Amino acid sequence: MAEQNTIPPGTLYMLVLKTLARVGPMHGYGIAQFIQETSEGVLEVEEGSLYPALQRMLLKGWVEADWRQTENNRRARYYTMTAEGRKTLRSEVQSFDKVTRAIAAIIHPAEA
Amino acid sequence: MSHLRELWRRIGYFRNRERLERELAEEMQFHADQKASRAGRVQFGNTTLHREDARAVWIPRLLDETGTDIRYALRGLAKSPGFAAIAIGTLALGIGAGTAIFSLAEAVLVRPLPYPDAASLLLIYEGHETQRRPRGDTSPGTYRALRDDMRTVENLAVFGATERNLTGDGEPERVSAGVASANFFQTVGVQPLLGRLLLSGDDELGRNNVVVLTHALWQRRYAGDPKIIGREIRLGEELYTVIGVLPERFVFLNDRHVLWLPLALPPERWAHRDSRYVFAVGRMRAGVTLDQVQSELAGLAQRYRAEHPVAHAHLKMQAVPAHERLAESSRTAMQFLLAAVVALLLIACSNVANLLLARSVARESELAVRAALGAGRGRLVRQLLTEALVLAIASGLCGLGIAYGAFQLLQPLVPGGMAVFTRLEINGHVVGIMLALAVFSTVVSGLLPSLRAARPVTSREIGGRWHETARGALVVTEVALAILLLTGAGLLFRTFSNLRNVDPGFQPRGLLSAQIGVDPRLIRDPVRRTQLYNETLERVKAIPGVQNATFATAIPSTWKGGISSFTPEGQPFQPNFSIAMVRLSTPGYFETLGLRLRAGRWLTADDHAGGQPVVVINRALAERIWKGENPVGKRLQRGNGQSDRPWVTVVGVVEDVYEMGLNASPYPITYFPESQQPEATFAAPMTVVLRTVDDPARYANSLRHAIWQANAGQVISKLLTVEEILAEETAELRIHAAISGSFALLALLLACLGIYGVLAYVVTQRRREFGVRLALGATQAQVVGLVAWRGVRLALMGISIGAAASLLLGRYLETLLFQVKPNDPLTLAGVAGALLITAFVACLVPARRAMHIDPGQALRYY
Repeated sequence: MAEQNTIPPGTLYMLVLKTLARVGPMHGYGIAQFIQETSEGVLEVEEGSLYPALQRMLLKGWVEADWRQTENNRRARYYTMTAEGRKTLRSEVQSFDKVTRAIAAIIHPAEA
Repeated sequence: MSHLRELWRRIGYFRNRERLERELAEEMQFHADQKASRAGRVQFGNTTLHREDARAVWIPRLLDETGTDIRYALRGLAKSPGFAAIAIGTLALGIGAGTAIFSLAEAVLVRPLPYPDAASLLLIYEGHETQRRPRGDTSPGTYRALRDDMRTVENLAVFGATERNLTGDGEPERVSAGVASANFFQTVGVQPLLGRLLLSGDDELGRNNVVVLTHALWQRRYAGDPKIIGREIRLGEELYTVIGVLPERFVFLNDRHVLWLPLALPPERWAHRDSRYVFAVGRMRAGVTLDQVQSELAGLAQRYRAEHPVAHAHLKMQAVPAHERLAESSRTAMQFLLAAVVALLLIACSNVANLLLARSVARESELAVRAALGAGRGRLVRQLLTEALVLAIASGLCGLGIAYGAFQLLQPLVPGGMAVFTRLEINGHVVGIMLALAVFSTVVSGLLPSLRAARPVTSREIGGRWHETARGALVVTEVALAILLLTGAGLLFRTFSNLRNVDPGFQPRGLLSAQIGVDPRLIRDPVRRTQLYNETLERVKAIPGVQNATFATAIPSTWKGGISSFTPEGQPFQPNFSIAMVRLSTPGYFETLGLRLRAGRWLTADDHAGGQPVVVINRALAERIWKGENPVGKRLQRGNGQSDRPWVTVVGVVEDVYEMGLNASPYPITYFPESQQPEATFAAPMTVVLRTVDDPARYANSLRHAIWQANAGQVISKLLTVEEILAEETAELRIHAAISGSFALLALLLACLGIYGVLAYVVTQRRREFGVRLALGATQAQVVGLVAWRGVRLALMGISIGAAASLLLGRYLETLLFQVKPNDPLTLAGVAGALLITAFVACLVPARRAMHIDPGQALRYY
């Protein structure tokens, strides 16, 4: 397993939103799994940060939640992205790209 | 917009928080289960912490934790009901008393009067230039001049007081009435309940027979008749048309007025500057300060003195805000009560702090566990402060009950002119004051114990010394404050008893008095008037048990009767100095009241209308005008020396009578035979006074019948024994003394409880040490001495600090005291002695316990 890293502050919302954009409605555990697998184990999402983040996103109206059955017949709370969430994701990704490019330009001057 | 939605969701979350909490738990359980089944093992983690973190998103953590703390505090209090009862009881007394006194002070000193823009309402007084606070009335002439001259004050109006016989529609009665210029009600800013108030034109002679009724009179005498407007009522000889009714809560300075009449004067009297019987009231102009008004008045006074050297010699004028005028008489007393109640509250808080400290020892292990589980120092302090707050709020709620009860006692302390609109009752202000005091108590009583709890555990184990020092300091503070309170109360008690024992200059015991309204026709007919008085007196004197009787304009010690200026023969007239109270009486006044003659003779039946005009003066007047001379045989004239009134010869000097209330210094008085003062307008109503051999109250009915036999249908009022009237003078002081006395006793009790608590703790802590001492041969007396000395030492420290503070602060009490100095050694010594004795008794109980320690027992259980 690759070395695990904490998720940079502020990017967790974006990761959760992007996950929901890609896989559709999903429960908390699934979101955490998806992020971990897609990042090839680099990013591990702790419950301690995931659930507060989800609660905050519910409050902000970026996601909605409802209870559904999982494939193995357990009750789980599924999160769905709202229009508001889509808008947020777009602007978050934009500013993320901008910042990453800026950082890259400093760190790897030759490639710029 | 999105913020609004977020707020809306938050509220929804708060309302459904239990369901959400369940859902969150289930969701996280699901997460854990998934993880476990995947990893093939159960993961242990602080799931509670994670859940708390997630929940913190929708409920602010502070709120959440405070809720928990409150639950803990309630649980803790329920577990030790004894502690709870004592702590809540102690604080409730402090907060209750505090709430009551603070509410009283707020109602009297702070709450604005119920007039629009009340702060700009000013009264303008005249006085002698040597006076610091002139409060004298002004003349119609001066009022007119001020109205035209003043730039800083607008809408200047004028008002005064009078009395009238109200007849028709039921029993005739003597009523007090306000008289006012037409613009008075506009200036004060009051709207009529019915009809209209005075308007310009009402104060023109010939059109002035109009009257405005107060709500009280309208209800009482006219049963609230809605068609009262336009009706005619009879005042004395004349008919007046009712033009309006005032709202229920309207009172302006004098709460005895039941109706208002226009002040209508003939033009020449509007020019008079030296007959003072009215007051000026106006509005401070916007943007003007009180200082500007005062300096304008000072300038005008200077001008008037130059323009009218006789009428305005030594003139000083001062503007006084209406609120200040009403509250100034009670300000010092209120401030004293406030200081006393703060001291009491501090003592109560110290006691509770002491209790909390003792309790925190018992909770040592609980707090250690909390700290070990990760509670930070701030978190522990917050928890303990919350506990103190719960205690204080519970006490405050009980205290509201105490305040409610105390309001009955305190209501008479609201000055008369405010009482109508200042009822003491539980309202938002009072609850606010209670909460403020509760928070104050929380901080004062809870801070020390909380700080102690926040110290690291290790230093706490060896911190017994810190603990004892802290508790000792609290006790010393308590004792010092108790000394302050006891000294204050002691001084007031001495003042009270001095006043009760003061020689009033006459003998009030056995005297009965009643006021009778005199028909105005009689006032203008001195012969028939004297005849009626003599006839009445004969019948009164015929009552078995009545020794003597007299008619007079007033009894001594009541602030009644006219004040008149006079000019002594051969001396210049000095306004505001050559003034004396005028007292008219039939012969027998001095004998009946028991006044003492210093020189000359009494007034007798020979001083009749046709005889040589004579006067008897009191000692204060003699010393003011003829210091070092024999006044008997000297002459004086009423008025400013310009009048054509007769010169009157002084025939006697009587001992002073405490006139303006017992507390004030004697006022100059002139006693005239009523038969020689034919045109005295203040001869009505007259007071009949009789001296009886036993309890004067028993003669009330006989007196009434005797008066009615002489003159059927006579209006009789204020039938009281003179002792009752005098008791009224000291009533307010009695309440002050009672309040501060009970505060002081409470303080004494609490301080001793504090000493007891500390010593009891010491004995428990040093049980083994005492056991060792006893085992090694210390006598029981030595152990008792050891413990008792500790307590006595604390008491002595407190007493010296308190005594020093009393000496420093005593001078603020000076104006409340009578014939006792603020640093009165007797009071201070008595107070210190009383405290030392009670403190010693409080020491003995724990000391006895120390004495009976069984060394074997004490040493066995280590």
